[in-house]
Amino acid sequence: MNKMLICAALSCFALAAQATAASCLADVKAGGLSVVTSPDYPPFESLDKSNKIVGFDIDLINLVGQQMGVKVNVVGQSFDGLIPSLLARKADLVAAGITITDERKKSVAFSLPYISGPNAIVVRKETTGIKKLADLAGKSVAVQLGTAQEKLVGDVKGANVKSYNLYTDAALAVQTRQADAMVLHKTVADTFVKIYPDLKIVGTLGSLRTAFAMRKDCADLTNRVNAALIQLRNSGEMDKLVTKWFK
Amino acid sequence: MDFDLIRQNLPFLLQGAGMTLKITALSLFFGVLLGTLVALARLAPLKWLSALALAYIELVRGTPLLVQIFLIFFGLPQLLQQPINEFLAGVIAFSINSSAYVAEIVRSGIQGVARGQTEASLSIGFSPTETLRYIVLPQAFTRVLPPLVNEAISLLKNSSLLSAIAIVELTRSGQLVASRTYKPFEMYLAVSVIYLLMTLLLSFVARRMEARWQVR
Repeated sequence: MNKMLICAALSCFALAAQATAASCLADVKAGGLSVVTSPDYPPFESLDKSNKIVGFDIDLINLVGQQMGVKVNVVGQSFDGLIPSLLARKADLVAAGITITDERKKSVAFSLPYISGPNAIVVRKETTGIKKLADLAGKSVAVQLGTAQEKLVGDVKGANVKSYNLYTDAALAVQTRQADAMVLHKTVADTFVKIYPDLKIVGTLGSLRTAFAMRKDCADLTNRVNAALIQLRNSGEMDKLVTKWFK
Repeated sequence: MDFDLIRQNLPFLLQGAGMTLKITALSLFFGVLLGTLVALARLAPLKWLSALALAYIELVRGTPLLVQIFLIFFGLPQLLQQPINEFLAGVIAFSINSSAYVAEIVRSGIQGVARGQTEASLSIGFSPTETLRYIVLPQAFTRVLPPLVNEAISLLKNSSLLSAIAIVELTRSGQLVASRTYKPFEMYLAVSVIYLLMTLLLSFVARRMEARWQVR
């Protein structure tokens, strides 16, 4: 009798284990898609006048959710906590203008890239002598904690990297001369120089591919999101979003 | 749990702890200096000086430290038209913040010294300044030691707020590793233990000092 009970319990466990291994999509269909983002990265995501999270990523993930027939719930937090939240199963997907890097690929799975573009170096209007990455040696450079740009600048010998929680803090640091330059996605830099007229873009470098991040054990969810992205590209809705936010 | 990760990054974390200690020590020094002056102003017979000191205490004590840090770090450069280094900004913000709390601690210490001590000192021919320096302040100091240690401990822990202006102190060094490795739990655990060791050391030193300078 006891043995049978144990067997039953074990098979239940096995079933449950199997279920969690392959049911991310089912979980999302049942409970909705929970998305985390860091709303300090316009036009990918930022807060509007009523402090609601808006942006390209938000519109895109909502369209993906529509395609999948699930409810999308977006929550904002600081950038360096996004992937840990995902890994701790507090979220199903990160939509935060995340750059695909080899280092991140070790921890998370990426969707198909939906935007690509270079980084930009931003300085104050009056700054001269900074044009390319190597010019940042001996300069203080503001970046955001945990970003691909933080690593990029960190690899420049002699550059003094200052990591801020928010990109808006980094921009303010450059503006108030607490840092000489900042490095960020060109598209976001374009928006920042519009917001802060005393800043300018002096150079672009590299090419970044931006994608959604999901847990590695959620291959079914990643596949479904990719299918939705392809659909949105083919139907032209992706282009409409690009025009709306980036042009 | 990845203890190996903690071991690998321990030198970096300890470097951050060094920065934390440096900022705490400097801020405590200037905080006690400034706080004592504010306490004396608060006790001064001049009404306006006392009121000014009270206003300073309420203003500093009534606003969050993080906001004060941002005000100094982003505001001062605009005011002075001159960038200020974040280390300096941090020490200024912390010294000011600490001075308000220290002022009240020192005031209560001075007021706790029996009035007769001052009268006796004056009657044997000490000037008011000498009375303060040789009679009142030394006695007040032994009384204020325990609350001052409290202030030092909270200063040490609050210095984690300086991570927000990109000072790589202990908390920020932990955050930097956590954001690179995506192992926040291990890093914050290590960071907590290091903070705890530092505060335990502070308590220990304080207890020794207390035992030595106990009023008999």
